[in-house]
Amino acid sequence: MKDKAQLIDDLKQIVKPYIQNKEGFDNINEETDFINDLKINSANLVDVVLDVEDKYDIEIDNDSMEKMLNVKASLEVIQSKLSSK
Amino acid sequence: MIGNDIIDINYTRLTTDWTRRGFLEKVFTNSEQELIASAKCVFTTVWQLWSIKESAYKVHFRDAENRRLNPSRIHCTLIDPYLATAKIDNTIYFSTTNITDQYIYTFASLSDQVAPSQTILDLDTAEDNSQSQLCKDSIIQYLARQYDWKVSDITIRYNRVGAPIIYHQQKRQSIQLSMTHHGAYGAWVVL
Repeated sequence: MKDKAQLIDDLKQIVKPYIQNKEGFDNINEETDFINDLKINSANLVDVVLDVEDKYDIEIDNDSMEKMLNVKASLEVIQSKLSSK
Repeated sequence: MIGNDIIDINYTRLTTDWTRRGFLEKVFTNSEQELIASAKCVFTTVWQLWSIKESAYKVHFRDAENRRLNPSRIHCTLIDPYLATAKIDNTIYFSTTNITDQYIYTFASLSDQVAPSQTILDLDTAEDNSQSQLCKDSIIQYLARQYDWKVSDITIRYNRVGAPIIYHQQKRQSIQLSMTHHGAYGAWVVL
């Protein structure tokens, strides 16, 4: 099982192509919000979810996707999906 | 309450691959996917429906505690090529979409009122921060003219879900505002 720091690092690589605020990206942490801090546009938020699915070979249902608007909630979704694999 | 959304057609071609596996299923309901499959121009239909969802979402979640990323929970029905309804939970929103060669723009509200006057801006900068600043400047100029206010007395702040609110002399105003920018275009609407 990957630890949280590793997961944040993975997530950082995943969101990288979509960010429009470099400062927010450089300071990415658990409290980072994808829209407010990284300025990721909403269509690319869907890309982030699809990239997460591909990266970990997990399926993110719509109820889980709903929460994936910040790093913290995304980590929770990834951890929960990984643990039930 | 009002919401709007603009999509820069060239920019979206460069930044979003809607044909990637899983994208349509994550975003659209079954009936929307059928509509897309039978559309004359699939690209335009995909982004028209997206823009309807986005603008209705902005109205619906304006005063919400939290935002949600779940576009397939918004059910769009096209009434004609430009008018549509978008149903979120038990609320129905009405929308009007303008489609040009450059952009797709949608205005949504709770009633089927004619869209109030709105301004589309050509933003020649790609930086997200300066884009929203240019939108804000344009709104502030409009408000100053319309209400005979001093520009320096007007501020636009954001609530917890990022919805813009107009303040004049530090007092919250009841004028409704929605703003959007994407690629080379921005737009705002007040009511």
